[in-house]
Amino acid sequence: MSVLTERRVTSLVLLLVGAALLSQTFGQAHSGLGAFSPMFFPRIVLGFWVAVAVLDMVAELRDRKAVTQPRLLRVTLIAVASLAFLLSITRVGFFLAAVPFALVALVTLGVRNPVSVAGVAIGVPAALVALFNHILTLPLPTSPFVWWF
Amino acid sequence: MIELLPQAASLIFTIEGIGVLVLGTMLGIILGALPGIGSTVAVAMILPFTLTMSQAPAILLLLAVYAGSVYGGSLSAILINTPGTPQSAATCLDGYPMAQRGEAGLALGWSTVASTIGGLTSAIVLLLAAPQLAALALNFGPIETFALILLGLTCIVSVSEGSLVKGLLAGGIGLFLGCVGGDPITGEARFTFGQFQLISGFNLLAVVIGVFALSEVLIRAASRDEADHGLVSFSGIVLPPLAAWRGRVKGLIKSVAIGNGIGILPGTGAATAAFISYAEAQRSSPNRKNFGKGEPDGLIASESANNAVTGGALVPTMALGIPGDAITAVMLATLTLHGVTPGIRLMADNPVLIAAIFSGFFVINLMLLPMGMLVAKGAAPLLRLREGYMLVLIVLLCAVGVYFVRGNPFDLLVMGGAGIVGFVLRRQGMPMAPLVIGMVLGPTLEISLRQGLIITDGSFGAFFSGHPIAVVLMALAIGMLSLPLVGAWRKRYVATE
Amino acid sequence: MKLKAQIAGACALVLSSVLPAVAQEFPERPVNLVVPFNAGGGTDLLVRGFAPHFAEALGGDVFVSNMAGGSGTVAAGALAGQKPTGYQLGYWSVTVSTIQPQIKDVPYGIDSWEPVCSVAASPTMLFTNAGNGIETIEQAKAAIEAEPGKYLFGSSGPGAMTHLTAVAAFEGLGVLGKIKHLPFQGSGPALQAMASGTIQFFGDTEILMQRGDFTPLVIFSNERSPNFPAVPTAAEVGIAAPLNELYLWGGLFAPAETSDEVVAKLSDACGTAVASDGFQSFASDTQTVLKYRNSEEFDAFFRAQYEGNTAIIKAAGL
Repeated sequence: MSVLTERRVTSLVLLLVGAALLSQTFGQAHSGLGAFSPMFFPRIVLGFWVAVAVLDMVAELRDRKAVTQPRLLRVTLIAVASLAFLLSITRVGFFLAAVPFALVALVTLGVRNPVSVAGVAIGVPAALVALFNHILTLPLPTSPFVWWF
Repeated sequence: MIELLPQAASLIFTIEGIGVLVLGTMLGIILGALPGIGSTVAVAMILPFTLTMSQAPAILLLLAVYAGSVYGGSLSAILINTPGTPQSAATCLDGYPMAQRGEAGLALGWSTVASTIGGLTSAIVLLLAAPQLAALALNFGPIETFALILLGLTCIVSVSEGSLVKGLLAGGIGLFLGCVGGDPITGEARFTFGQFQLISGFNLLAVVIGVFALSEVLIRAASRDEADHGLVSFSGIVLPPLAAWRGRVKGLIKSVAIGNGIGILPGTGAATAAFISYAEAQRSSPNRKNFGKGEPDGLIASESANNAVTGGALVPTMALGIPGDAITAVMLATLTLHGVTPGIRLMADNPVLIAAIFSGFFVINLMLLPMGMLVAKGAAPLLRLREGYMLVLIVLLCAVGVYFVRGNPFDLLVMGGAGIVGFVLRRQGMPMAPLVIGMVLGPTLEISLRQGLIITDGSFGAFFSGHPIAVVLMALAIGMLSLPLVGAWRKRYVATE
Repeated sequence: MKLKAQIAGACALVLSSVLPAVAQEFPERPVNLVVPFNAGGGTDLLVRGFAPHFAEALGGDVFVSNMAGGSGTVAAGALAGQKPTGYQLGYWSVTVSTIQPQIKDVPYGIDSWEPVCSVAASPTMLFTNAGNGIETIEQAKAAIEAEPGKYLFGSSGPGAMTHLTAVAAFEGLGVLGKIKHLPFQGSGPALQAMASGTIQFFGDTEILMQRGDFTPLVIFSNERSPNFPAVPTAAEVGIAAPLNELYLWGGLFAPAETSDEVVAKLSDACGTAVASDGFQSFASDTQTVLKYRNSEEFDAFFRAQYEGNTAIIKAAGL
């Protein structure tokens, strides 16, 4: 068992992020003083963050709590697919981004029936595009190829 | 106002009027229940259809969708732990645990009845005392607002029982997230790291959907117990028996009062009311030990308060022409379109229209129960879908909802990032509700504090002289903070004895 | 059989929407008007009221979409990077197009646009609470000079038109250093603060002023308002150019390098739409002051405003 457990690493990262952000509030020269400084409030908040993060770190170091092992491959696949989907919506349009995402996610999550995988992965995005872009005229992003999806 | 009711009724009880109320409430519940599509998006989707309607039905349609969506948000909060809107985030805390132990129908029963009662009482308050209450709301300057928000922040303590330090840390992160973007006083960009898109800050709904819904999807994906069935078992709303209300009525009354009171104040909103009410219930409920583990009192507190806000928010909107939130602002704009000038003379100039709006609002709340049961019945088969389908549907709908909040592609990335960070933090046992509270309240806390300091020329001490309301609120905040701390200390003290 | 016929029909429909497009001239597909604020706001409603008349004049479909954030700069920044096809137009206000790019680091500037037409323009007014003893701008000046630091003016946010109006007034009168600025998040909270007396002065358009119990002090226009003939113009009370005229205007912008024929066609359609009976009555219902300028006039006006507003921005310390 190593000293670095998942919980401890997360706590440490939170502490470091808070401290880094707090140091940011001091570097720059700001016009005005007190309540007029844009850094007045963030400094209070980040000070609080760092103080509590220290307490949290101490608590994590004092007793080791185990966490259940995640199904790393599955969750990574879903997370990456979701991010890729969200990133590509504005580039290739909602429909073309959603179909591959749904395909990958459904298969990863254990749905194997090819008919229902394809049906859901194509049918749901198509229905959403039809509803929003053509019935409600509240357009979702469209692809650069044709304007209607 | 009362004497105008017959005239008002003739405006509401037309074919168009009733149709609008029924369809609007139904649509509102469905839209609110879809994960990711909150009240603001629901109202914006309906807006184009109101352009061709006449005055009263147009406003009633918006109101029906608004009230319906606030209630509808509780359906997804309870059934799939995904608050459709920030205001139902507090509903997840006890609703989802109830659903997980197989009482989804009953949980929805509690929330439906609580929502209806919250909404109905606020409709009555509107009818009876809107102008007087609006005048009262004017006593709330920046310093009073600051004190109220401070009180709201103390909820963080009560929603993070079991891991106070992690709850406080989540609250601090939320407060910081609210600081990112243009400074409200000087306009200078803060913490944008050269990213132009960050100038408008992190969108609240994108973060809420990320840390609740998307992170839930990831947690499901990471979980080892394979669910071949739906997420929760659910076949329809089960109304709680009358006897079960014993001991809960006092809490309900208190929550309704909190919801109405906070709704009246411009710029605070339903999420604040739901959290403050939840915290108060947790402090005073006889069942406080079960909070967070599926306690109906928690559900009642959050749902009756957030629905009471819908009526409360109409008070300053209609009596002063000052919108209480984004949705009432849309309503005012719609009035303008129909040739009615919103403003201080709105009620005096259009008494019948206002009476029709207020009484229509009463009818809408009466319809929440039957319509809610209908929608829940219709949604039940969806919940029996295999987990895989459900998770994919949630991600797709969340993306659509977040995109429509303001059409800003950057918000989609924020949602994705928040989902992954939320997943990591939740694995560590960090509660997400405090993060949402911090982000909801942070910007108002900051601007009211700094406005107060500008008014008093930088003296925080001056906050306490000549502001009795603020002093009382701050004293309450200190009380709320110290009680659980004292309790925890005493527990430890007794344990070591 | 029936199904087959339906499929054939559907195919024909799809083809008919694609094929003639090749032959036809602009617009061959729906034109998108981008509103840089949330749905339901004043700007949004104006554009939604305008869209059907614009579509009719253009002989095509027009739809409205919203992209909010950063006081409108997020939408403008996104549109500036789009291909200049003429199918996406932004409805930018004076702040989005001339003020924000001068105070924030945004990915667009004066040369990012092909101005198409202006649609609306309302002069702004400075006003105070009724019943506080201040009835004229001279009294306001005297009161502020008598007690420096006591009075507050509000705004809907730093850099907003409400902020600049008050700055123009008090800078023009030479008392800006003796009055404090209290920014709010939007006009709603600011008007509430006016009603409760937290702030004493606020600057906005005539419509907003009429919503509450307020006394108008000065109008930033080249002529007096027909509704308030007793209220002096800024120039009359000694506020010197370029601070004396401020209009909350808005119009359609296309990304730079949109072809001249397309801009001309859009600009003409815009003129027809603004002049249409339907839109005129919409404007009178919503008390919108319309002001059409074609693409050349608007281009000149836009550039003059961009330079002219520099002085106020400097005075506001932004």
